[in-house]
Amino acid sequence: MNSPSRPLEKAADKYIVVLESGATSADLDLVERAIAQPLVSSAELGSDLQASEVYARGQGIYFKNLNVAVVDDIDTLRAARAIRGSSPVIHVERERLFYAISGAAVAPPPNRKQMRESGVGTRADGRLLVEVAALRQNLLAMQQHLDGLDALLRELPDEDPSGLDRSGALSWGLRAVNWAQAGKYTGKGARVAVLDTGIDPGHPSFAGRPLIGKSFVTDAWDADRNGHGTHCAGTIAGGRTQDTAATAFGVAPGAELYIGRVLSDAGSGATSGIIDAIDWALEKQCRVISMSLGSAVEIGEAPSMVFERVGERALAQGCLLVAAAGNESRRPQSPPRPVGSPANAQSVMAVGAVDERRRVASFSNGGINAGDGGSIDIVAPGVAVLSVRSSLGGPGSGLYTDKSGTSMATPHVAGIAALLVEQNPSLSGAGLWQAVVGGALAMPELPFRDVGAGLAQCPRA
Amino acid sequence: MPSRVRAGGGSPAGGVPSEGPVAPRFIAGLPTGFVVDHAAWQTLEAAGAKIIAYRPRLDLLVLEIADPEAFVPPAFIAFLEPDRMMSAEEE
Repeated sequence: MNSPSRPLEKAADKYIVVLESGATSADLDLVERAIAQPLVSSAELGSDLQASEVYARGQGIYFKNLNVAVVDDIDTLRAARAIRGSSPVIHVERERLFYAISGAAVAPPPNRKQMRESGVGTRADGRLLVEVAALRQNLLAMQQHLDGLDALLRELPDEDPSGLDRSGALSWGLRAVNWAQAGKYTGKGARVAVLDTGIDPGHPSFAGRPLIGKSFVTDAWDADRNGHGTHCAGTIAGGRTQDTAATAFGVAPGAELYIGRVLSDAGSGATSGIIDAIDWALEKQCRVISMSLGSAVEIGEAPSMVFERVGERALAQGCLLVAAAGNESRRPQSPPRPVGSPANAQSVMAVGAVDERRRVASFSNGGINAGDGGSIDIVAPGVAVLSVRSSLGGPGSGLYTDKSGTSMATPHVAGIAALLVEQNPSLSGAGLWQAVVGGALAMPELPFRDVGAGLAQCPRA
Repeated sequence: MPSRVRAGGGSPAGGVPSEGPVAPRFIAGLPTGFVVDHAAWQTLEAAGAKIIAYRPRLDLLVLEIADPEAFVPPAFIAFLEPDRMMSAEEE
């Protein structure tokens, strides 16, 4: 509520002239004569003509969609006369100043004393009824206008759909995967499933975008209170930060996201739920499934036959499964730990992590069980990765945050796969696998056991 | 293929903690194209497994097995794995 110490609204020097709906140009001529000011349509306003310039030259502005004109410093007697007779003007009042209260802008209604002072003594007084009717009419018009803008906003893409704007600041992750060379490719038309903790659909990176989701745990797919899934989805298909730096961080901003929630708010979930989600993603014809999740395995432990089966079936249907290699290693104090499950299945692409200086991340698992299929296939940026922060929960503050893990490397590869799908939609699953690893930048200075084919790279446009 | 399932490997139903005893879950692989018809369903139930989900696209079943020690998989089960828990791979 308003603070009692706040001064009452100070009268501004403009007037709001409320017109009957459907005012014609002849009506506007009448209004212009009544208020002795020419009116300019709001449609003419823009970068070449500011509202302040219109007022400065003694003209008013007519907002057609609102049936309202705003005029500067008119003669109050003329304004009162304008309401009478056959004029389309139904109400004139002085502009008020508005104050923000808990994020909403409202004007306080006048109190009884103020109304008595302005001469309104009874309910039968027509002025108040006219004002209420006019405000209701305005409210309706503004709601329609707002609905129209909302619909427009939903249709607009988050990012330049042409994908040509590759200038400006880039996250180190995008620089490392050579995002600038992807040119026109944005992942448009590629369906990418993100099996994780869900998403914050209200984040500016996702608001207005068509998101499809399903939960395979008790938490809702669109209520990511952990933040992990939102961060990963941002790396795959987010846009640019909305600060002055406008840093791009999403690999494939044109990709279609399918959010399969398989991890709870605590960040864990069962294999059975993941299997169900993969089945759902295949039904939805996703071409890439990104899994920034896993379970540690022992040295010598064979890969899961379940995920071997699932990976093979997905590839046969043209879909690539990408999974995090795991974070159990503590380099250089200890030898690396083996690639976890499901990444250790031969038919699932295992992604390790590197830092900004292209060193293997200290936590990134290695191909210790390579004889059983548990090799690293590729690496991607996974240390201090900039992406979206869920507003619904999780550590940090603000709209964006850095996270580390093979979880963060995995969505880089998923995004690159989406670009490749756009480049060549007819790629088979095996063809897509080959295109991803074949395009990697070899890192001969590092052990193959730790980096596989090398650093993932975006396709050249 | 082990004749009996190792006990204690499966997750609680749905991977979500709940009150009271919960039968462990397992994921069973089927031969390619195998159709779980009424007879197969009855065979599994007779062996002590309850079918939670059937994913013919993947030739997989999700089973709840109340007594894993006593469960002897029918011949059409190609492999059986505990429903293990997975976690987000964030540092």
